[in-house]
Amino acid sequence: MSVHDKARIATAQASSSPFVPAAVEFQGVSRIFGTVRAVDDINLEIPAGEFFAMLGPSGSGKTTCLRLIAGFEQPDAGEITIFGEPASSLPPFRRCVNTVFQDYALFPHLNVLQNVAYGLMIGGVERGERERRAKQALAMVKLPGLEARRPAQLSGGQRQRVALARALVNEPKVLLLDEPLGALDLKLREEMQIELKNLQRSLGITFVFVTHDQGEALSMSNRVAIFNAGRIVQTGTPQEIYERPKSRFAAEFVGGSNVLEPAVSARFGGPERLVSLRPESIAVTPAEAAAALNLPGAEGRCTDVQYHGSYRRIFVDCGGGRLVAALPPSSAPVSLGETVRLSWSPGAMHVLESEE
Amino acid sequence: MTSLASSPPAPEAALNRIADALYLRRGLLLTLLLVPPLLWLGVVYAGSLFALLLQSFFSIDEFSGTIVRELTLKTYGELLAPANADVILRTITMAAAVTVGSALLGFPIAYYAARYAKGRMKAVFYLAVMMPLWSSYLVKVYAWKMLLAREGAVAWTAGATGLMPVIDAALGLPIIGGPSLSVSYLGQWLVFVYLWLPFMILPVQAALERVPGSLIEASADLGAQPRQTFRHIILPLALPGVAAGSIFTFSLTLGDYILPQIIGPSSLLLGQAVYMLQGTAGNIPLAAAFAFIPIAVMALYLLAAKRLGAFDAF
Amino acid sequence: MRSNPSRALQAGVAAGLLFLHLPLAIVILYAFTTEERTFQFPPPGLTLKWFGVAWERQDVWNALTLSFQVAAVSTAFALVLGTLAAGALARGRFFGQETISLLIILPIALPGIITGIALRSAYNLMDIPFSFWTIVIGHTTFCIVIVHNNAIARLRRLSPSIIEASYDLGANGFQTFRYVILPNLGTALLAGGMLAFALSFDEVIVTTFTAGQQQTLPIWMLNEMIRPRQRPVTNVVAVLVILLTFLPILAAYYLTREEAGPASRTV
Repeated sequence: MSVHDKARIATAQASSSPFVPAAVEFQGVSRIFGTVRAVDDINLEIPAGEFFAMLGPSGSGKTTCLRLIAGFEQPDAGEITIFGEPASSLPPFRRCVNTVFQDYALFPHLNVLQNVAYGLMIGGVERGERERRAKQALAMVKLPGLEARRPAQLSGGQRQRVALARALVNEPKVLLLDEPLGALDLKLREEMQIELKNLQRSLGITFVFVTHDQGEALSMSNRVAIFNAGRIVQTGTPQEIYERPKSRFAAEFVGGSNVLEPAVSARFGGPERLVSLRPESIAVTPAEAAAALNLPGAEGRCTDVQYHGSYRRIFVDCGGGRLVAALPPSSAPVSLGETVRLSWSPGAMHVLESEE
Repeated sequence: MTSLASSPPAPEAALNRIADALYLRRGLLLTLLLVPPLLWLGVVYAGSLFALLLQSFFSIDEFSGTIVRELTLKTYGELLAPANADVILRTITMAAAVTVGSALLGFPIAYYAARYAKGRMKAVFYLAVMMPLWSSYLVKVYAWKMLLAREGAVAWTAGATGLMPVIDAALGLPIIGGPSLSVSYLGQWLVFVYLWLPFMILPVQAALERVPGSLIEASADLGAQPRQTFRHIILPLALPGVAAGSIFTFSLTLGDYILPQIIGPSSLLLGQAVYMLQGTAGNIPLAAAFAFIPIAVMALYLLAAKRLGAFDAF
Repeated sequence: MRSNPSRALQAGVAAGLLFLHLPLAIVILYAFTTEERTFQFPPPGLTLKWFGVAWERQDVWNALTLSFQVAAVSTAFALVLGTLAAGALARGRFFGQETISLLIILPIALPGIITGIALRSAYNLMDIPFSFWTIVIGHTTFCIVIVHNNAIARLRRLSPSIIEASYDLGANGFQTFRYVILPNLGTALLAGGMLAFALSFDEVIVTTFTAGQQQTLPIWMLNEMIRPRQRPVTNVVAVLVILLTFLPILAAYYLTREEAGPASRTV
């Protein structure tokens, strides 16, 4: 039976049974380094079979959380369970979790096949069988034929696939990926995003990956957790996170946003609350049309224009606040210093619940 | 993957439990790693060093020749006696002279190796300096004994190239001259420099290689002649390397007792004094007091060298 | 100063290098001389007979054997202890770390005579008679730092995520050491071991204090220099010593070549 078949059976069993435990659960977990609370009282639940993203700026604690799941760090407070089993006292070599490291961490003294088969060798699988499975894993990540090469002879993209195969061949219940696409160039990154998503879907195992790239998190995952300063700021589907951010931090970190103080919001025609307004919801409208439609808006002087190919970003000084708008290529060009009238639909002003 | 494997047999299970415990208790692992080497170094070596220094505070009963185990500064006082003080000063002066000599001789080699040797040549230079460094100390001393003998290679070469008068003039100098090279301070100094030269070259080369080429170019760009660039940019940046090398040349000369026995005048250097005192004379306290001098001098020297940035050269 | 080096510099460097290497070359030359009692230069004639004479000398063989045994055993001990220390210090951050580093370097940093005396007085205090083992203890003490420096340099270059990857894939500490750390450490340990062997083989200062009546090869040479019996035999032994220290150093250099630039030392 191939890895795929086993996983499909597992997922089927999971979805039919109401009592499948969450793949990973954090209860009040903290990890403190000296005086720094890298992970501060985190509660988290990652359902089985999900592609889960941990998103946040550097130092926000997302990597530490990943390492806590893997077992390279032990929590100073709280409990971690993996598929219902308490994991806090288990060293990494006892957990059914495998990691794809940021720098790939391929063993330089072993060739590709030996690298991939390493976990099987440690597990006592005899040589013929483990080589067969390793080759199968390499085929799964679309890297056949390179078995005899050493890591030093591979390109970055190839090394990453080897690291992936090396982790997956052990059939872990949870796969952890630490900023897996950071070192790749744009084209390769986009390719790998699609491949990773397909892989996860066909294998059905839980993927947890850490990234600081919000575009990646949004496009690849089923659910996203946003981290800031050791805490989780918001968890939800990509759509929820993007369209209904709960805090200023979430609004600004994911997608960038205009966050308006209550007074400014009221002046522009919105509610007197802290409000998030996405740049792409703003349009440049002629003054009469805006007045006729009675839309919220503001007038101001354009202080900067940036060309981004598929859109144009303009910075408008509206006395009281600066607004950033992302205009489609079809909209009329705006020149520096020109006074423009911006407007948007009332629904585009999303009320934020908190600062952080 | 734990679900795929069956449980391991009993001794393996015990080993596994130990492995788990060691992983989770980092402190325990660290202790286990450190205990054997620390036991050796800490107890045996540091302990005996301490025992030695302790002895320097004892004294020798002049009549019976036995060691009186009472703390006193009398033995250190004996170091101030003219004969002993002479030994100390003589050795320190020689060490300083050797340091200067190695620096002067070694700097050009290090400079060339750092700035002009590329690729294969660099490896050749490295080996060319490493090989004499690591080859046998005794063989090197012995080689010079042969070279400096009256019928040896140096004399013959001097005769053949007409440099004899130069050597005779050098030997005619007061204090450092003598009847022949092998029994003069000049000869002793020469061999010391030969022995420790590689110790000076390597750190200086390392320091010079750390000078980014862009600094040299910037200096030229700002109008400096090559000689000025050397004096104002390269030399100051190389100084930490010289300081690092001088730590070796100084310290090694202070403690050496074999070379002075074979080459040089009959007056004693510090190392010889220590050797003789603890040997036939049985005067361990005085030997220990003498031995303390290099330690103290090196401690002060290291402090000064640290100020000069010598430790950055490592 | 991309310009070419001046003539003066080139001449100085050539002279310096000649200065460094000529003496050893001359020692080798002297092993073939026919002249027995003086150091006459140039040698009046060349012969191979002294090699044969040296072969017959039992005291030379005894000294050579003892040196080999001491070097081998000391290197073995130093390999274990030095690697353990390197493992602890490579990435640790703990109380007393710098003191321990200093302690490891001390046997080489302090003049040999001090190490020698310290050990001898320790033996006297504890009433330990001189023997093979007293020599080995002394040699191990300064060989530890050689192995340690080589091992720690290599360990620090090893990416830490490799060790974590091994744990992640199911290997415990022992297995990780055996399958990942040791293979990557191998050549550094080999190099350190060879350097330690060469150092121990050549060592004379500490040995004279810890050897009692026994003669290692350097002690034999020292005695010959003070009270020579057959000078050319000493020369032959000198050539032998040059070879026996030359080869391990060369090997150690090639083993660690890829990583360090020529300017770094692993002394």
